[in-house]
Amino acid sequence: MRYLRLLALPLLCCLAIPAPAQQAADKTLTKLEQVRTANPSSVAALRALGITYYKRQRFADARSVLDAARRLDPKDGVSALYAGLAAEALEDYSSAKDAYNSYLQVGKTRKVRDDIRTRLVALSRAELRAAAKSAIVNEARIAEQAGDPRTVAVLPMTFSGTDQTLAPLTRGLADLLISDLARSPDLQLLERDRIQAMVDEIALSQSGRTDAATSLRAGKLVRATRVVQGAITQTGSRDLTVNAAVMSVATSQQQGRDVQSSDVLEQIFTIEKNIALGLFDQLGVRLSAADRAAIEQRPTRSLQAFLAYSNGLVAEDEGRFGDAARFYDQARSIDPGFGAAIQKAQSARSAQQGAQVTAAKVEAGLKNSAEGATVAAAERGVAATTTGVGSTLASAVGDINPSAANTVNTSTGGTTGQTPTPAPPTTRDPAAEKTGTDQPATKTGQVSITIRRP
Amino acid sequence: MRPLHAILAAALLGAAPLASGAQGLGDAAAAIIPQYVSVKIGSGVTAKTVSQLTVPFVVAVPISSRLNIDVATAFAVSDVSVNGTSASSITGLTDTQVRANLTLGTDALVFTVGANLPTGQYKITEAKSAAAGQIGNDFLMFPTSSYGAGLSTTGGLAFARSVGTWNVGVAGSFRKSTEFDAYETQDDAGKQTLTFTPADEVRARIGADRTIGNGRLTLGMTFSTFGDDRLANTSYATGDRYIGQASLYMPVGNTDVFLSGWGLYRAKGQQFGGVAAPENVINGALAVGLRSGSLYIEPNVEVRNWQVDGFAAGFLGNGGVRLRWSAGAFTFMPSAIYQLGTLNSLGGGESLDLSGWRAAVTLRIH
Repeated sequence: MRYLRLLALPLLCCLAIPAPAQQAADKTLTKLEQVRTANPSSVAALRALGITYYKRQRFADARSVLDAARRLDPKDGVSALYAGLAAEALEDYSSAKDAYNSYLQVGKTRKVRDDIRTRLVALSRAELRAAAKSAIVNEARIAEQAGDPRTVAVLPMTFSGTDQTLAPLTRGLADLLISDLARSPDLQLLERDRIQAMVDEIALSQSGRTDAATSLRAGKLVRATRVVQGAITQTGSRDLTVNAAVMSVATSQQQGRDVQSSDVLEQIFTIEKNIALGLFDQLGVRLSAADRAAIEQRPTRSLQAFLAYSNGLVAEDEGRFGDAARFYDQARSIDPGFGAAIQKAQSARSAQQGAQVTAAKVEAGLKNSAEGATVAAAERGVAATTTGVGSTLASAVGDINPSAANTVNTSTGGTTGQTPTPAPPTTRDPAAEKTGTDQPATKTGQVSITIRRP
Repeated sequence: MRPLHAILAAALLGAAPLASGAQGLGDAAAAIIPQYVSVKIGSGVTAKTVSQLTVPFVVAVPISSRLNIDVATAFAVSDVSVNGTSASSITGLTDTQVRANLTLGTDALVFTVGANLPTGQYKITEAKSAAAGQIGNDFLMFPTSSYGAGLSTTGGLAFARSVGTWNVGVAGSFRKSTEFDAYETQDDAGKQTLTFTPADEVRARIGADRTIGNGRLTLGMTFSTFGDDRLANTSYATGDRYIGQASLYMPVGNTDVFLSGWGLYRAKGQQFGGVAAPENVINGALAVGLRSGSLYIEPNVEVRNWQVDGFAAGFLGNGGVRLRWSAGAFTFMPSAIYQLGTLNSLGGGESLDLSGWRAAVTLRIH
């Protein structure tokens, strides 16, 4: 016990006295806050302060000053990048995407641009999850808002049967139905990813339970006016029956009658087309001959390829992007003409790579770049004046096409608020130069002649 | 001089509060910044004083995120006095520059076009010619260096990209000038108008900048080559101009240090009456910025050397202070500089004392 007391004393001392590193960081922050106060419209000051707030995990403060910097100079890439990182940390994914997209437009560091591109794919999924969470929180308000009457949500189907290898068809058939129903201009189909995120979030909020009401609730939360529910039943070792129905979200009542199609497993695409055409009837959509012909097109004729594709959808929904990419590759190898599988494989790979691009990795990409030097300066408490080629271009333009506006911009410190350096004369007065009247040593005098009276 | 002082006082007191936030071309902004310069050359009863009060007006309008337009003009009062008596003066608007910059791609390429509109003073009479001409000197550097240069148009392209830790920019432009009525003379035959056509100009620039430690280094080189100026019916070749620039900004502790220099070399040309000898102006400046709460104090010194045909033509030392004070949405920036130097008469080798001061006041609204 005595030893414990002896140990506790220095420990308390250490806790009471701030570490030198902490003191230095506080000093840096205080200095940058003073610089910002002195130059409230200086992009450099706002950017440096925002970066420092971000590094100190004061994400809301960081976003506020970085957004101010972006308003002053929309072409400032570093401000856009750190505004995106701060928004992402605050789980405001749509703002993060907006800021990242700005960086893709104006950012100068190629490696960071590449990382941001892959990160954006992962961010879209995070955005869907966040939107689903937000919708559940705001469910009462959303219920009062009328959706577009054309909006239709096709929910994942249910499966009952003994062969669980067929269960992934619940996602595959829903995916095919969405593609087919979307061919009609009279309908507005919601994306499968968005619906799946909502269903997953509802299941999570209900401790994994789903019931008949779940699909209607999901439809309401994604602001669909009608939802398509479906069930796949394995009726024999190789026989399937698929039922589908259209439900009105507003009344929770079925619209029209059930649509049903049965056949052997190998005829799964025929079953799906029958269901799709039946649903068009129930949705009150008349198809043109061209639409009907388009719907008759099949993405693949291989059941095995479609099963692999469906497995890919399941893996993707569960966030297993590597597995999803492998399933899609498998589908593509079975049927090289399966276009959707090729597209999905690329998307899954991007999502997989994006999930590995952390904020720290994005920041590391700035190393040894001009933008990285600006960030490093901010960490040292310095509001570096420029980051990209914007000021380089401005100097060039000011020089080759001079105007009195240059003088005023530099006199006021432009957007940096920093003192201008003395500039040489960029224009000449050609007439004065030619006549020599610009020479200061030329004497201009008055001759006074006093004539005394005689 | 008295009217000049009266206008100066009125402008400083009245015009500055009209200023609104000039924040560079990225934001819609307007600015009015009165500036006053007075340079006394020589001493005694033959002392000549060249002074100028100028009030530049600038409006910058961002049409879109890619297109910016700015319009700039100035009202200037220039005076040349000898021993306190005005010998020549000119007052009025200067030409107006309208410029549009279109950014293409990801901030890498800018297409710029501009026009110099002849809103300034033309048909300069003999009584005004000294005041109109003296302000154009590259060594003394008056804020408004010309009252009128005729209608001209400029088109140019600027390109920049990052190369490792450097940003490198290259740019080029072409200026087409037109004839204007430069001078009006009076002789026995009556009033005569002397026309002038400035030479067309091709200008090229290369620049680079990078961060160094906590600071920033900027370098630039501009080259201009001209056709022939035409005064009345006579052509005069104009010497090419080379401008080199370098600046270093370095924060040291709580202090900002600015070190900069530029050199302007004009090659041999021709002027009315003979050869225009080559001239070289070199300028160096050091400023130190100190923060004290919301007040920023910046003492600065500047030296400038002028050589004509290899001979010392002038030397000028400037010392001054610039303040910046921010309160809420306002930033107030007054500055004052005292100048001291010598000027060597190009003809007789006589050395003249040079002294003067500059003052400017800026109010920015954020």
